[in-house]
Amino acid sequence: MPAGVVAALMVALIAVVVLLVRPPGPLDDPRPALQRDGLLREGPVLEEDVAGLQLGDRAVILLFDREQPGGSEWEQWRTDVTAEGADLIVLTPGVSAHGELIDVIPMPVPVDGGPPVGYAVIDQDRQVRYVTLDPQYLLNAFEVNVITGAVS
Amino acid sequence: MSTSRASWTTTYRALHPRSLAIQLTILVIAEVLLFQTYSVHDARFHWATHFLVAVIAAAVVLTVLLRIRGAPGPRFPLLLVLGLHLFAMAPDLVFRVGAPHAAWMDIFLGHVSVHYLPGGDTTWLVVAAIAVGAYVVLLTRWLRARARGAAAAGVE
Repeated sequence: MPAGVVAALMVALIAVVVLLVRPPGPLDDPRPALQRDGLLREGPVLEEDVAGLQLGDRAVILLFDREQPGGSEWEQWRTDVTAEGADLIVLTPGVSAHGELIDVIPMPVPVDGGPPVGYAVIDQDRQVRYVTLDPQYLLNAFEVNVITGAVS
Repeated sequence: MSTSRASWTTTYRALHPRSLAIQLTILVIAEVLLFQTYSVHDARFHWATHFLVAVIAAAVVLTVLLRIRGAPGPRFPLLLVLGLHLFAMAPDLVFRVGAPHAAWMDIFLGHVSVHYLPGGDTTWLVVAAIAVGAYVVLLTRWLRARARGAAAAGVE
């Protein structure tokens, strides 16, 4: 293959990577490799009662968002991720346990330095098994199901 | 077909323009579809990382084959890129059917670890450009040497 054709293909590839693969946005993890990596963790074991929230007995999804989600897309997401028996707890900055859970999990800090938008999965032994920021979590219910299915 | 003609065809078949054009068409269509599957889940950088690693691996294979065999190969070099990309992203397909990632999945062209390279996709892009560039230089030298040899022998 002529060198010129290869060079043109490489220029096209560079353009695709530079123009279409966006850098982390304000709500993303500044370390892209750690966002939605799909790897289970052996994280800290939480207390049975964290600021009034009861943990244990079953897998729990701790969803962090900056405001209470709503709408049909959210309702579908909530139905999907709890279909296999996991509990779902929504934590916004107004909830008392929000700050304490961010500290003990710990949740990553997004690029803009504000509260996290993402989720953690706690297994029935109260161990943190998965932590990620995901500002597009409504698009990715299947990922939550894979994690909760693996730790249940 | 004469023996020398048959030998020529075998030696250069990996560089046949029509074959390369067809392979390139298949590769581009397949990669656009794969890109879409990652893009709808806000995971474009994952597509880019595994594709670039596949490009690098393909360039290494092509370089090694050229050095060892003394002829370009394999027969379908651009489909090799696609095949290696599908191999590299296999754990993502496994994830879709319910298995989280694990460290052992690095056997798929470093599926887990490749994301931790400092500089991320930019670094992989630079490495890919170097690997492909090195192969093109080597191939160009090989073609020129063959042309000189053919001219000296008085055959086409």
